[in-house]
Amino acid sequence: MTETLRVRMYNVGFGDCFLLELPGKRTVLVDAGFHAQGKGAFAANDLVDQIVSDVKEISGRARIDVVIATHRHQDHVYAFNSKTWADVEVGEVWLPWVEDRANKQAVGLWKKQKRFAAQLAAAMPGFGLSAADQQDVSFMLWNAGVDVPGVAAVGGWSNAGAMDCLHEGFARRDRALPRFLPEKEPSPESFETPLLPGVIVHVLGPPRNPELIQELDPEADGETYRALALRAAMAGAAGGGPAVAAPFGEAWQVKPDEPGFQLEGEETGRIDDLAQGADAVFAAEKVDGMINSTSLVLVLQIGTARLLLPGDAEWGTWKRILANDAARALVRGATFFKVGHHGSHNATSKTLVEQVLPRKIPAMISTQEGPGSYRNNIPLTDLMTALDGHDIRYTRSDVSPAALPKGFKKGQGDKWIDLSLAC
Amino acid sequence: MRKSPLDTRPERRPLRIFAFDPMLSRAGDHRVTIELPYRPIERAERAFRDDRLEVVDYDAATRRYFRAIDLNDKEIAMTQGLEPLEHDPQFHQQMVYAVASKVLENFDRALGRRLRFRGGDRLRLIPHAFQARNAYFDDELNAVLFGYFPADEDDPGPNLPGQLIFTCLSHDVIAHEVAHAALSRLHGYYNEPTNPQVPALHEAFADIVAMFQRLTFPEVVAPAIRDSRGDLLDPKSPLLDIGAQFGSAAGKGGPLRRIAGKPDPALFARTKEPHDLGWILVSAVYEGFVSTYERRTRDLVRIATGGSGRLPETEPHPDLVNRLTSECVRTAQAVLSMCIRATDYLPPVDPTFSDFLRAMVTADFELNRSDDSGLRAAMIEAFRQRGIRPESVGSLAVQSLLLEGEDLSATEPDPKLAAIVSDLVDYGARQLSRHYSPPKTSERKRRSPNKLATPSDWIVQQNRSLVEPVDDAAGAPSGYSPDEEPEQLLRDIGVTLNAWAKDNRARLKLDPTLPIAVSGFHPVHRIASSGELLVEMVCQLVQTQKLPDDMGGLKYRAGVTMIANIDGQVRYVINKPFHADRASCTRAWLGALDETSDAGWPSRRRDSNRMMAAFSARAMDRRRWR
Repeated sequence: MTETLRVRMYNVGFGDCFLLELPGKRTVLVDAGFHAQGKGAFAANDLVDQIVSDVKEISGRARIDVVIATHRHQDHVYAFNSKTWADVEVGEVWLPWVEDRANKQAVGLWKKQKRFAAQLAAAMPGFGLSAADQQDVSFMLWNAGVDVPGVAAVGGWSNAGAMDCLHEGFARRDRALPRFLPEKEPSPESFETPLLPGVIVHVLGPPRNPELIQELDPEADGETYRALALRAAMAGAAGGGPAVAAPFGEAWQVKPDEPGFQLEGEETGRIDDLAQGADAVFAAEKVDGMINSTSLVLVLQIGTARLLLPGDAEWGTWKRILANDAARALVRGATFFKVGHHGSHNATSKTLVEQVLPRKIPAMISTQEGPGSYRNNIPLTDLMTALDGHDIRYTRSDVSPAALPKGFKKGQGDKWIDLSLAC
Repeated sequence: MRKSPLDTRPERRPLRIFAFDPMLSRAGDHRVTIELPYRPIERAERAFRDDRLEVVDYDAATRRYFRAIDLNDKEIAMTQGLEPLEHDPQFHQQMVYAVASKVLENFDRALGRRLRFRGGDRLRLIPHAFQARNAYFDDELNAVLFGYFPADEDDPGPNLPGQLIFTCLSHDVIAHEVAHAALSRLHGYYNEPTNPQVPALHEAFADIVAMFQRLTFPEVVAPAIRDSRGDLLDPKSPLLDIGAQFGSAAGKGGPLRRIAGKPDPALFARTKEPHDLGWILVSAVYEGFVSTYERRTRDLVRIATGGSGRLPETEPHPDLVNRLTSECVRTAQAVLSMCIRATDYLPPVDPTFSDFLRAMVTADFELNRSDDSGLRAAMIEAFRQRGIRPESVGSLAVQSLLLEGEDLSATEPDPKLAAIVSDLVDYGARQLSRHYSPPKTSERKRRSPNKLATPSDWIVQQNRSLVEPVDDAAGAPSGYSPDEEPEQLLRDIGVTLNAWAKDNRARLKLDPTLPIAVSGFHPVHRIASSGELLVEMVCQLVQTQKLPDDMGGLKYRAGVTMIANIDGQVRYVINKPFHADRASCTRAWLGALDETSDAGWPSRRRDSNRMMAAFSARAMDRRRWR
């Protein structure tokens, strides 16, 4: 008799939260977050209460064997702020290796990234963006964990709080420290854990090589990095005086009212633009993309089932994965696909759908439509058409027809959708 | 020689600079004095200029100007300029002026004419333009903008954390950027990346100019030769570093890529990334240089070692070091001139490394038929070892690498062409005079740069000075308007040349239907090694074909570089015709770029200028100086 496993996709709105029930009453939680500007059927603590209640139903106690946070975007970890977690026992916590606080490279990277995002937020008023663009940028910045004025937060909840819970929280852990994956090169890394007997975990991303770090480094686009710093300083400077200290003292400077040759206004205008020019939306997308690129990409092998869970990995990560034969083979063998980044264009490429993924497998998209040009294409219509064309039956967490495709079952009050898979 | 007591005008102006990045030269070894041709300097509080360069010290981060140095001040001139100091902005101005002048002098000498920027505009140098880890040439402003930035706090290398690093203090950066500016002037269409070797050629050419110019400073070469005992391929030698300070300051713990290692001919075919391709070319030229140097110094080493050929572990004798140094400097100058001269023999659009190889060989052949020093053969061999092959030639023997010259006996001298050449040559000869300064009337109003309206504008920021072909049917005279080109003579020549080209389409292998743009013409005066004086004209003609599909902002062009002698005979027709292979190569490269950058969904609009944006000077140099 074949076993079955169950994947439960909660309707969290713009965010991810999946509870896996594996044979032997084992539970795995993959992400628990939602965007404050894109809530679904749950508010604040409700989601956690639901998860705990569901887990109790499965195994009789408030215990989750493995908690996975694919990356630190709020819409994947926000709910970890809840105080309810202090009563939940956890076996292991898995995080991407860039979250390892002991890894100097990673720490340096996050420092720069935080600075970049904070400067973008500070410089925002000076950009004169349209309302739609402002909304997009705020959306992305809040998701990155930056305080954005005008976005109401749940009392006391923050990105740092969520990450702290993942690193050190919960009632009790079988394995004290989180597993930072992958633990070493080469990719893909495969391991087993006694907490999930019979399950082989394959880690396809993020890559450990330093090239990735360079790509993620916001200073790779040095001009934007410094332009934002400059603009943030300008926004903070009082009275329109120079925002940054001049590299040379007063004695070397020419007073503005001194007569004599000067560059034409258009020329200084152009140099100023080149120096301070930054595309706020582009910069916000970079912040967003950078964090997405740190996503854990996992294939969970349970019996005959292969669950492909790519977090929000973007095209750059997929390229590397598809270029690696072993990783590609794992992707080709998937029996379930969680669509990345809420069905955005960049997380799932045309090639992946049409040429790599097998046909006739089920897929789930945890997503929510919304306003603004960033959210307009989430989920992407082309993508869903391609999934249909490839016989991949899928459901969305936000909108679903009355009759779901084979294997899917709606939860009460549209709060979740279940999928049963043979394994 | 002075003819009267009042004639005190000097020939050369000596100025001190840092020859290596200041971080490396704390010891004081690498401050050198270089000599520039003397040109009268005018100074205002915010800028100073000679007839071709203008240094404006404007900082966009703080919107301030810094006071300009007065190089005419007797106290400064007496000590050969200010003392090299990192935090003295006036020294920075001195440094950029000195290095830029030197580069332009090397170009003048190699090209046999005074390099003149479009419309007689001065090339501007802005030593502290913005805060960023980058320096680049902006075509719109006709200016080189140098950035400055704080050293990485966590891994600053030999700098202090947070210390300000100025890109304008690096000889290599200045020379690299001015070389970009000069190449943009000589071949404006090379700013269009129609195949991966085009931006690679730009980068490689700029690196070659920077590197070999440095190798012509004896004060720099001598200590390096002494320390490495004459081995120019020693990977530890500071001669091989380009932009050393940037690697450390950026926190990567070491200078930028080095030229070393055994050449792998298959690497060239495999490499697609322009910076990597460029390094292959630079290392080929460097190896050609080293093998020529070794051949020239073999007898010295034989004498010094009594025949064993191996120098002892101790420091070599100072006399030997001097002789080796002067051979190195001489060879470096020859290589530098050879590479610069090659630009006259390149097609006006879509160049490849093979075009550059053949141009180098032909340019050198024109100047000295018998390869006395063996430099030409060494270059060919070095290129061959790296898999750079001359295309559409039969074999590797020197002859077939040469560009096909026109058969002079078969054609009559063309009097119209002769008249054009002679006018142009006269103009050029006047410009070469040391006392020449452009008449005030010919100073045009500097063209106002295009406003950067949208964010993508300043990502692209290129190519305002590309000349578009004029629509023949409209009947309007082609060429430049008085605003673009204040010299009446040059405007007239442009018009006449266009007319002549139209009449001679077939002979010049131009497409019969498309309009012709005269994208450049200049006179050349050279003295061959036999003492013969060569006086010629180089002219570039370009045609553009409209293609319906999306080429990422690029246009499909063909062109001809024509070289004519003073008698009105066409000596060379260097042709880059329209050909399906070229268009498909561009498309393939664009496809590869698209594949790397997005996930392939058709509904997602792609930026129509993405190719230009990805390989703009700013983008290329930003990756270069990382």
